[in-house]
Amino acid sequence: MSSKFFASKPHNLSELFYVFSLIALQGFGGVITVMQRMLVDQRKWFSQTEFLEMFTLSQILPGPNVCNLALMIGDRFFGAKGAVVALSGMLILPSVVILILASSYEQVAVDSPLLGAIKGMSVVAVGMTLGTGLRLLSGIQTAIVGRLVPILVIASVVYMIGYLRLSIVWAVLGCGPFSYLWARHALQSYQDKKRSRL
Amino acid sequence: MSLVVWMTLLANFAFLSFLAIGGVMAVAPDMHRLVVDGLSLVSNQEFLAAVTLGKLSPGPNALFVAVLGYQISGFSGALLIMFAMIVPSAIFAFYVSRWRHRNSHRLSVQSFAIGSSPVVVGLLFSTALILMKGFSGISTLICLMLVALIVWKTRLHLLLLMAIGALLGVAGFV
Repeated sequence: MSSKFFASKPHNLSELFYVFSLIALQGFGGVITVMQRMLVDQRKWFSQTEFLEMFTLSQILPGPNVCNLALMIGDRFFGAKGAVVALSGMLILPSVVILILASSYEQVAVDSPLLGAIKGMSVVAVGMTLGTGLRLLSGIQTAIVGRLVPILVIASVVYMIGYLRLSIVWAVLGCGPFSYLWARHALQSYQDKKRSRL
Repeated sequence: MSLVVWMTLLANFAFLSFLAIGGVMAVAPDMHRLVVDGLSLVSNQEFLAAVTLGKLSPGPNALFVAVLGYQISGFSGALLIMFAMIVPSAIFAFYVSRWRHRNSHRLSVQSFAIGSSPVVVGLLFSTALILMKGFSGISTLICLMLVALIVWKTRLHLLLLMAIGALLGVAGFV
């Protein structure tokens, strides 16, 4: 994990800016879906596992999480400059778009076909979130931690937030330590096994 | 708007951004309490309009705060409030991410990454589940599942999916 090999990477800061602008401008209702597609599947800057690792950290850290993720990725390739450029790509053009919409909102607010379109798009957005979750499953390192514990953890998180309506903080504090201890134990025995094979 | 109100507003937004674990929408109720009930800077309708625009518009959901800033005091308001919302927590995230990367050989850091990934995937599923409860009708749910399946298994262009969704919405199918 620590030895990083980039199958491919952005050549310069303008490519970084371009890619993140493109991601942000396609991200209706869920930037993370577009980001996973673009960076893992299409441009192959990261493996599914590396991407999931960074996404995990960005989710757990406070603040707008796709913004956090963008700056982490930018930093990984070009240091602090890259962080600023990736974050700017994420924000500049979309905020121009949203402010243009904001300044003309009164005229469109009562328009019912538009409301229908928004409803349809939000259905697609929720489907995309679900699909992204399914897709990121393959980034979980089942070779190390197996399948059973991750499935249990996922199910408990969904149960706590989705059904019991507990806050995210409780779900993370409730399931995180258990998942961490299991991963630590599994990783240790995985590394021991590897070492004894050598 | 007085300087004191501005400082209160910006300090509160910076503070809220540190509480926004799992996304900015998690603290939207607190923002509502601050700008609608507390400081009376925008009306309830305006706040809802900002949230709707945030959903409608491409980019990070957090951008809905730009609309709030715009409603409060035009473009400069939008810039200031975005700065307060994003920059302090971004600086924090930057250093934590660097620390993690430098220490990625440590067992504890690796275990943390491996162990928290199922939690985060669970968070994504929960988000989807909670939002799904807002929809009714079997055709809507079928469309939603189809989208999930397509995103999971194929590489069909996401904008195409969005366009189809919008059309189905206009037609009243979902």
